[in-house]
Amino acid sequence: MINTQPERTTTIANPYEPQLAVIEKIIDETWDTKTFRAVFLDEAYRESFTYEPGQFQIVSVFGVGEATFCLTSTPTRKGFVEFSVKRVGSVTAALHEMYEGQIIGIRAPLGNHFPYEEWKGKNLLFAGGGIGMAPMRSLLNFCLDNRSDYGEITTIYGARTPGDLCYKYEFDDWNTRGKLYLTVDQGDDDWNGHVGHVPGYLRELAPKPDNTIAITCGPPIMIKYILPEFANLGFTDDQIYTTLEMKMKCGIGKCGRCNIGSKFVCIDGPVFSNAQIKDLPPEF
Amino acid sequence: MADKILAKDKIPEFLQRLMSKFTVVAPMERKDAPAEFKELSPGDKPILDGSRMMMPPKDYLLPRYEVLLRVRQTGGETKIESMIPEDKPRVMLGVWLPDAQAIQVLDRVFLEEPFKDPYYAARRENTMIVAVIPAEMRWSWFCGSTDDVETWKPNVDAIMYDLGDRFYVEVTSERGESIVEGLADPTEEDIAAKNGLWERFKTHNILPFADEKLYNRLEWDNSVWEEIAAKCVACGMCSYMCPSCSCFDIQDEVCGTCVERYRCRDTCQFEDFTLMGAGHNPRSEQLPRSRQRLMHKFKYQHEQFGVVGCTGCGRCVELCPVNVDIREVLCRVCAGNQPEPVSK
Repeated sequence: MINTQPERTTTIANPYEPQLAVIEKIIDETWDTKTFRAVFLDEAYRESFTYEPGQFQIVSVFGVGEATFCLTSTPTRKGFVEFSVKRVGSVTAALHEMYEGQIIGIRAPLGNHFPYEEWKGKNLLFAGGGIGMAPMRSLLNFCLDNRSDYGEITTIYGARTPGDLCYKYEFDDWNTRGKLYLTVDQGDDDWNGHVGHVPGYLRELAPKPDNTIAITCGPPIMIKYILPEFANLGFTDDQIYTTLEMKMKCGIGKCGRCNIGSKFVCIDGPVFSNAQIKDLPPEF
Repeated sequence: MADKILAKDKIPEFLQRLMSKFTVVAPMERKDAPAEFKELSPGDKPILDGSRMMMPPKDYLLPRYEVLLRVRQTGGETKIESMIPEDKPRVMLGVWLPDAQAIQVLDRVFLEEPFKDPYYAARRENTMIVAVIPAEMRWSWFCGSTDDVETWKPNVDAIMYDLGDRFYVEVTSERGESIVEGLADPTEEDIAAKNGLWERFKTHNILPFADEKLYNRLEWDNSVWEEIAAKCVACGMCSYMCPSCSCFDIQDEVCGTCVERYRCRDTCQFEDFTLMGAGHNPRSEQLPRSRQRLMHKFKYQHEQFGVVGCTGCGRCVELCPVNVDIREVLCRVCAGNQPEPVSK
């Protein structure tokens, strides 16, 4: 007798298959960045969909391809997801050509998230540069929506020029329920605020590290200069968190390109503490 | 589990019987190209003795080009169809034992939860693997130097040892019993011949790094990376022919009214593998790319899954157009950068 094969009992959901979503709203943030608000078409999926601050999604423009974006919206505001897109390549260019009402595909949520549960009762200090504000905006709004769980919520946000600042429509809220410090590398005629890079502004403001978690995200050059500033202020490596960016295709640890040493940014990250980053090879 | 003997002149009947129960996949000759694993049709004469270089079996389990999704956008409606292949009982025959072990590496990448790959799983989970040990070892094999090959045996369902006019079929899993049904019992002489062949396989090309724990020895800073990067022409052959390299790309192609989202092979040896849209590339030079491939196989995959990502099949040794010899590199790494002669 030929013996029977072991029976397969589970049906596997296909992690490569995106959910269809409609673009509900497009916000022009800057000359090269737009924020998209998308709503899942399937009602049951939309109702049950949830995610955590720090997670990311892979967006499909059918016929062009997929690209990775952080979830910039907060799970405390339900019914939609938001992602900010800087026009740099083919998928981002195609997204910039799209209009409200068009259909995209979304695979989400992917990756780990900020350990915000462990941070209850602590002060939070956000330091973001340019489009690096996108992943932090999710956590910032999440914490502001759970205001009583946290101490002071301070944000330092910088961009090249005033025109490069994203999320201006939320600045009032960030400065009301928390404290917001803005800076630009180069001001213009209407700019009365601080001028200078984020690391230098951090040094000037000199926040105290006691009972505080620092979250920082921005271009590699900003990260390089801001980490020593945090260290000078007395922040330890496990008080500093960031999200890393790598080219991704699958988002589920298979396609092999987003590794740093034996860690995959897509499944072991994108959120890492500076202590964890120091254990990784310097290749990101 | 009872071992059996398959006389080579009984192979047609053996295949016929297997094909009545399973889809049988085995290396088939191609004109002017290495043999390739194919689903057999009645009357096919596959290469079962492992005597020839063949395209790795991953090409069947993880095709070089595979449509994942078909997306149709008509009349304002978008429909996505997952092109998951049929899940049917299969037997793969004629798989070099190092290639069979390489499938173990693929299994770790594609079958481990929480993200099981449904395309790979449909072809793999219901597939028995019958490995082969050819009568003659290839000069490029160094299997016993990468791992303890005894531990590979339970990972396959049966092993066919080429004893000239017959195969000794060692059954190594319970479900493997179904393959040898109806075959003759081995004699003492057969068993001795099989043991002799196994010993030759096990001790073939034991290189100076064999006893080293390579995952502890491969260092980020080593002059050998610079040397192989200087030679490498980044053709990607080593990863395309490697039985365990599985990195892939995903792209969209517009085909008339529908969009096909496919995946195809990719390799860490290509510059755009890690090149991001905005221009940043964490592995922008050949040196980190050369380092990545070896570190991934011998260190990262060991850290991730406890398996070694190279099984010593020797394809990259034989086929590299500029003679980057992975065995020499490993010798160098373990001998504190002293070049070691490698037998050819």
